[in-house]
Amino acid sequence: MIRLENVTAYYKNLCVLQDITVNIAKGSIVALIGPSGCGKSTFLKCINGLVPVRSGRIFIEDTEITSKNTDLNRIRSEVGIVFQQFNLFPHLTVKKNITLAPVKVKGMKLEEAEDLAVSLLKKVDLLDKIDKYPEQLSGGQAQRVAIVRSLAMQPKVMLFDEPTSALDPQMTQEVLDTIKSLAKEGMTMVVVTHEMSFAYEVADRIIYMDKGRIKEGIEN
Amino acid sequence: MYNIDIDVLLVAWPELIKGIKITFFISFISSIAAFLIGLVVVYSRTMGGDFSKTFFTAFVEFIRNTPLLIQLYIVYKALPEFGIHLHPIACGIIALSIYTGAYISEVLRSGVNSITGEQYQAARGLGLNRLQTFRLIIFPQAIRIVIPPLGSQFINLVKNSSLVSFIAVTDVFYVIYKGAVDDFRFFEFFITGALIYMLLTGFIALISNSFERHYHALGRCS
Ligand SMILES: Nc1ncnc2c1ncn2[C@@H]1O[C@H](COP(=O)(O)OP(=O)(O)OP(=O)(O)O)[C@@H](O)[C@H]1O
Ligand SMILES: [Mg+2]
Repeated sequence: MIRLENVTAYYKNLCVLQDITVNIAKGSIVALIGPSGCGKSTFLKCINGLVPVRSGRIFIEDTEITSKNTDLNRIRSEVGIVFQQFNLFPHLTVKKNITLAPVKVKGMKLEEAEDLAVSLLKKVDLLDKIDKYPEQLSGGQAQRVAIVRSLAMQPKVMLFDEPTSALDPQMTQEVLDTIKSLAKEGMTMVVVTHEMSFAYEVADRIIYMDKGRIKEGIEN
Repeated sequence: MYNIDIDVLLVAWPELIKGIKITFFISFISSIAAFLIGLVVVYSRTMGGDFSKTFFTAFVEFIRNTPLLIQLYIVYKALPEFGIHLHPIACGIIALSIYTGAYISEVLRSGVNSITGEQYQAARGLGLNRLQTFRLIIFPQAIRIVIPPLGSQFINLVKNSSLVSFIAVTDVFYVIYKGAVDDFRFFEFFITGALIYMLLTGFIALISNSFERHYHALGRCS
């Protein structure tokens, strides 16, 4: 499903990913763990083309996203990414946050996108927030809306970058439950996390990263 | 004791109205053009490639660091040397639009720069392209922040438009100046002129305030 071959990435002269080779099977859940600054976020951003690689190749299914001919916007719409800080769009309602990309990128009809938003919000128990603005949500609610926003693009893969580290314990649980229910549905996921218990409970595989290299992968 | 003579103003009134119309026309068209120029420049500088960044940075610096009057004369006197002959009003509009556009782009840029890179990444991460990201995510947030300084730019434009009288445009400043020197009635004409400009700019201040209140009422931007 996701294959990285000898991937190297730099910010200017700083080498952030060194010779990374990984294969992530369809439907599997990978937890990515490692010290701060080791390149975890960069790893995720490379997978959906937000950070360009210096060398090596990345495949999503059979499409090489590192090839010049690939339409990165399409790839990004198939690979959802959820950030630590939620990054909801503050000037748009929850509904607009969710329907914007399906309508603008995939050309979905507005009514269809709104129906989708309603059904996804129902799943995370936030339907009553549909007309609220992001600032009116708690952290846990905002992060679940951010997850729904990504899911509305009906991605093949979901990437999570420390989705719970900005949240207090109770809200953390809400968000982890949402991720777990996605896992049950067979979504392929890569989750950067510090929640070791969550990693052991949900992940099929735990990858340790250090200084831009993959140390080891444990089958869980 | 100076005797205020209202009659000279009444006599000049039809000319003044004509002048006001020209000033209004020039300011109105230039405002729209300047805003569009500002948009193109800020998009190119913040989202464009290295070449367009360098080009438009140089452009803004050139415009900001040279007098508007010289820019007016370049359009009015220098372009004809290259076979481009334009009506003085058109020359005025072009110079004013470019000059104000450069300033507006700086105001907009400060707004755009205050929106975090994370908003950009979230938008691109969802598959929006650069233009969509700018148009739907970055710009709507940026504009809310910069409405007051943006309003000042439009007010400056109206005031700066008085310089077109140097290139043979009979705008309201020209009429006032002519009235003042012809009749030797400086006080009457210049005070009237000041009031007329205050009226025109006050109109902009009103619009700007109502936009500000509108967005404040929405109040959904952190
Ligand atoms: N936009 C950037 N420009 C330059 N350097 C960057 C940029 N983003 C990250 N870095 C650097 O790259 C390295 C890896 O960053 P990355 O964010 O991938 O680490 P991380 O493992 O996600 O860390 P954390 O656990 O703190 O989130 C760090 O040294 C960081 O300082
Ligand atoms: Mg990180």
